[in-house]
Amino acid sequence: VDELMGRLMAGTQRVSGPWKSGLFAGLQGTPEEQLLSATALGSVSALAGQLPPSALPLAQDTAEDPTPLAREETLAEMLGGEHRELLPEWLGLCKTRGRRVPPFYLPALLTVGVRDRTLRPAIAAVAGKRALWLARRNPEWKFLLSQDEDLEIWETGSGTVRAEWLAGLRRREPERARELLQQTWATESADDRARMLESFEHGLSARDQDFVEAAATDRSKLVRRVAARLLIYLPGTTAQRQWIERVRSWVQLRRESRWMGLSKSTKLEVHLPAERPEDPEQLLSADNTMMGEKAWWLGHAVALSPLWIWEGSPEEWIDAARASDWQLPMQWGWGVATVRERNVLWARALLERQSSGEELWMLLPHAEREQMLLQRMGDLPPKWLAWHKPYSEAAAQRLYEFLLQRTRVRWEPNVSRNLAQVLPDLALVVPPKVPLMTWPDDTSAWSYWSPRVEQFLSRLHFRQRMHEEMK
Amino acid sequence: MWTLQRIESLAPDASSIKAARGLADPRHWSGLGQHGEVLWGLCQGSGKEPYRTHADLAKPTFGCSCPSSKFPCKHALGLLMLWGGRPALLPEAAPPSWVADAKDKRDRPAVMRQPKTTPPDPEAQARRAAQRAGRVAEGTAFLGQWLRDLMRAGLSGAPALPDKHWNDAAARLVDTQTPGLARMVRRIPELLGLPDWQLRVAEHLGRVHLLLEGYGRIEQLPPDMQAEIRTRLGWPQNQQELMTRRGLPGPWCVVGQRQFEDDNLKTLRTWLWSAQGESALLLDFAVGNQVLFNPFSAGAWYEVELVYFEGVGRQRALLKSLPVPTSGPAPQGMDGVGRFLRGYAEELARNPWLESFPALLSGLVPGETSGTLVDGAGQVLPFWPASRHWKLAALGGGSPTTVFGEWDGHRLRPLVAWGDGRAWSLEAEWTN
Repeated sequence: VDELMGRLMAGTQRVSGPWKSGLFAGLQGTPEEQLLSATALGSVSALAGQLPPSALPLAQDTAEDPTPLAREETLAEMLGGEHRELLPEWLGLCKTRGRRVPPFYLPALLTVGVRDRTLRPAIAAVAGKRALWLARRNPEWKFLLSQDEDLEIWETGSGTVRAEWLAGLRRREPERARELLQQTWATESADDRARMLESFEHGLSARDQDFVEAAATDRSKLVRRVAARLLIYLPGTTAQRQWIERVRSWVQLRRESRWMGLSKSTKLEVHLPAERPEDPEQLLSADNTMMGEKAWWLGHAVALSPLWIWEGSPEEWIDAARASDWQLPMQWGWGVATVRERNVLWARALLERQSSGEELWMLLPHAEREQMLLQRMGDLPPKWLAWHKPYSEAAAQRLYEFLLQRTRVRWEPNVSRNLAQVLPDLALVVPPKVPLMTWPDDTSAWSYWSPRVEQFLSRLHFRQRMHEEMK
Repeated sequence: MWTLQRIESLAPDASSIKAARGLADPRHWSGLGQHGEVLWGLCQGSGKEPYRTHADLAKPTFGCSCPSSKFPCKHALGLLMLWGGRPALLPEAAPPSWVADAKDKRDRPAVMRQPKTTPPDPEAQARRAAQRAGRVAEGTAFLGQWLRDLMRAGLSGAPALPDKHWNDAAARLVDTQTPGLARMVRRIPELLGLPDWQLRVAEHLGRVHLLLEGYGRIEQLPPDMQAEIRTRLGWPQNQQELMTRRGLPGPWCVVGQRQFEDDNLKTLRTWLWSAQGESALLLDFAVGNQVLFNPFSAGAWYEVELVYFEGVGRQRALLKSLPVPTSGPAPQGMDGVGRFLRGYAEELARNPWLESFPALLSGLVPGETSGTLVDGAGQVLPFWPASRHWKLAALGGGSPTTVFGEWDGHRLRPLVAWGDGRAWSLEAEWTN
């Protein structure tokens, strides 16, 4: 074959004459014809005569996995790129139904896990034992194996990833989060120190005091600012006491009894200093154009204050603020504090008084939120409809009636567009069943609605298939 | 079985599938009905008049009064999906007149071509055959000279030759009614891109040479070799005539399918395997917007009659009847890479132009190195694409598995593997 390949590359213009190899010695014709015949003879016999090499196969997976396999039609479609946003729901369903992913799909699914950390726990929960066997053979998938994968993120991750991870840990195990951060504190960059310290507002307790106080004298301004804020949240610190004194001197509620106690009135009184108050850590920094500078100090001051300093009922305070010139900063500040403290009473009072925000809304207990939906669907901002989850059958029914009614009326640029925009998101929170309803596709507004309705139905249809498949 | 997957395989593109899913909902439809294998319904579109949509599953054919240029349109696909999911929504009824009318006009059989009833004119046929033989002789003479020129110059400069060099020769061979030879020439620049191009091009040129040589003395060769050579040159076989021959009854198992698109031409290759270990290859083509009809799903058995094309050995075949799903066990593959390669060598000795040899092997385990399958004796069959390595590993977990693939003499392209009680297609879109 070497002789053949040599001659073939060179061509007969450079190499010709008698063949050395016995296989080709008897060939007839011109040098070109001989070379062609030799090529045919040589290569076909090489193909026919090949002997397979030897190698080691993969070691067998001996683990038994009695968990039944899930049906996988919708999974296959999602891995192919359709309705990727529903993959977390599929994984959750698979887990609650006690199934596992058919092994054939594991490589594709584990590769999703390589890219998307947030899905890893859900993937690990339904991947079964075969996935562990695979992960021992493919280092890309080793995330399945590490007992404490978490710690690995902390030790090897990049700045933002570590900060995110620490924030998660802080919500679950505040003590451990502090201990870990203390160990590496000296070697972290200023940005990272500030970023990580931020998450300490969750689960903040007296045990954090020494650490936070030390951070308040940090050489970085960024870190000092975060620490100063945390000290205000910490009960019993001098910083908190001073802060409260200051805020109380700015904002008061005057309760007056008139007509011999027959009528009461409350009035919000705000006395802000004429000059910008002393604010070394720039907790009140005015970089906002929505409100005036003073309003912005006030808003920040309220946001930083613990809610318990507002003695009396939230309703009383909010109503008084609404009757004053300071409604915007006060309500904004209370909203921030309410989310931080997860205070349901304040959340309820604020939501009933024109505050909005997903976090505030989700602070309400599910039943209460749903009650509000059923009663006031048309008055609530459409976004709230999509934030609520999950919908009960009754609430979904009400929602569909509402949608029918809204799609039937004339297109109102603001109202209708906001609802149309959240329509695809609504498909994620309602029960997974396509409603049998006749959409008003003969109205002039239908061309605006139809793409969103299509998206809504397509998502819902896919979810319905997913749930039916898992039955 | 009309699975959703199968319905979707009819779609001309992904956006049609999406649109059809939205239409697979009773609120879009009125006047639904079915009779035998004919389905119909009125689909409310954006206009006042609903579209009249019907489908005949037997062929299958579709018709719709919508203006879409896609075939089948989203309405027809939606109707099929609706019926597939909830057949009870389409009550049994007599087809309305518009269905019958449209059916007569638009019926377009996709699988079977009915034999023409007009008798052929033997004289005209002979004249055309003689004309063609003359053109083909021109083509083979041209290619012979072209090959000798290439031999004189040597192959070392071949990778540097411009595309035009190959395209011009291929165009000439199309003109001489030898499209098979044109394809072979066009394949050369593809092979030149491979890492082992010297060997691959040599092997290919050897085959071209054998083909020309064979054609030169075709009268002295046995009939099956004559047919093989003519087909390789690009002579079409008379499928209508083939269909009149006695077919080979099933059941057949679909052991592998592969679809690809080349210059607007879609090709579907379907490999069938019988319980006796016979194999057959079905080829389906579709141009442009035409639909590739795929009545099969991988690993399933079908009761169907086949007719093999003429040629050396039995490979390409035609469906003589409509496939009817039946049940059967996972097919039994051959044990041992060595035995398989000996079988390949024997077939190669009979037919040196063998390009793709079906491989159904049992007891294979992915090797420690990616892109290898290892048999019980430790012998290796290399395969590609290597991305399928982990799918095969995941499926079998290192235990012996049955795999079907196409062997090109160098590497296996695995198409289907069996495990967890069923067949898994390695060609599915998401797997790559």
